[in-house]
Amino acid sequence: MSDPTGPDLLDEQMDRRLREAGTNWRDGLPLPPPVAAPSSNPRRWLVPLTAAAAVAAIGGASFVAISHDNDRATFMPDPAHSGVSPTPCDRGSLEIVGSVVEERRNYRSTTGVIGLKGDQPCTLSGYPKAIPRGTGLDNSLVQYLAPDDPPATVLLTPKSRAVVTARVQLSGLDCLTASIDAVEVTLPNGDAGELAGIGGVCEPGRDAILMIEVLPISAEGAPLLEAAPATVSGTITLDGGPAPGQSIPVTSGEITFDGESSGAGASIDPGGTYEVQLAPGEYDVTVSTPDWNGGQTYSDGKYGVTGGTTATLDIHIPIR
Amino acid sequence: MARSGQVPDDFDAWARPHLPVLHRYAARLVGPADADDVLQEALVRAWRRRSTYDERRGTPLPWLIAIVRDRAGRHRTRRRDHLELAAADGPAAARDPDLDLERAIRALPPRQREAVDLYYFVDLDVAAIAAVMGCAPGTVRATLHQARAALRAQIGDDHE
Repeated sequence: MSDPTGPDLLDEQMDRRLREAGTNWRDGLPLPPPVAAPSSNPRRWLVPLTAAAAVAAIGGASFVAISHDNDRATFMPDPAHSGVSPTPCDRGSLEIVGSVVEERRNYRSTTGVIGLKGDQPCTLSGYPKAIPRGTGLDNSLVQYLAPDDPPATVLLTPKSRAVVTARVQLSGLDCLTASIDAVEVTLPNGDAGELAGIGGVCEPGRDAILMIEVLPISAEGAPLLEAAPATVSGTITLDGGPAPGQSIPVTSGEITFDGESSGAGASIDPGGTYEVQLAPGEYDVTVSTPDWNGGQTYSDGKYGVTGGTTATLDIHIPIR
Repeated sequence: MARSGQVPDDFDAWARPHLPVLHRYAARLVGPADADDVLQEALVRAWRRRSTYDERRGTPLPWLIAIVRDRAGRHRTRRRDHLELAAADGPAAARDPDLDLERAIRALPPRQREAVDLYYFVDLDVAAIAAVMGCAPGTVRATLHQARAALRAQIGDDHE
């Protein structure tokens, strides 16, 4: 019979305590970010996953905290996109299309989405330059922290974007004497833009040193884009109208996108096309054509929209 | 069809089953607040280095865990050298009510701490830990035993 206070029992006690600690720790751990993936009907989803993944994969993207935790997603690299080899982005080919400010306990960051002006994919590598603009700022006292990661190479395409992030350390909550109203950035290809300001900060040289850390260009912009509106456009045709196997544009009527929390509609123009801005989400698509097809309303089923994207949804209404 | 490194073309399906474990391990190494970033970096790194993976040398998990460990190390270095921005969001200990135990774990020798982290917190079995640590399962058990003894010595036996 073993000693009730012997080493075996004490080891079991520690084992039990560690198991309990481990269970408690896992129970308190936030869930990992969801992995973005196509829905069961990928044709109907404007999923930026593969594009973002290709960018991440090629770019070797570094870390960027760009969104609230609940909005984040893990992006899986996709080897199928490894063959892309575009040229470096020329000056004038890029623009900052939007920015988001994030506040954490010790710092704030402002992150801009870099978009392609044209359709030609290109790559961007290196670090942006950032200059804070605002009131009460003495930029000569601003310290810049050189990133230690090697410059990334990021692929930009019409559907995949990159992000530029500047972080500002906050050293105290009682020294909000200066304000950063905007952060001017110059991208490695020479294009310039402006990121949203982060508001009041400690004045350099007084209570704290204002330090700005500029992160390398990153490809992890998809979570940001998910919150941005999407543009959906397309053509509406009546199939089998003139004759079996043929179709004609529907030149009047209305298309409606009804979602759980939002919706939008657009008129069908005389060319049979439409365009609508939509918040991210899933929508029931309905086409009302009082002057066509006997005035019958056509339901095109559900349609998923991912923010920040531009997509085409052509609708083919069967003749009644 | 698989590429030369034996990582299937469907990287997503290949790596996805391991994400929960990798996320927990990253959280142990850098804290929950930065675990997502480290995991993301590790996945990108794994994809870029997929040609170096050889399935004949083991399952994907040890290979992926090694990448998470490397990325976490770089992450910590970056934090120390720069702003230590994440200090307040901080290490796992900040959210663990049993701070004495957590501090004691962090004071363990590296191999013992890794075994404890992987076994009790990441929730891997001994065989998987052996693959990760590159040793025999018996060595893992012995290391865990030594770690428990070291923890008892640090925080005392009267911990119930």
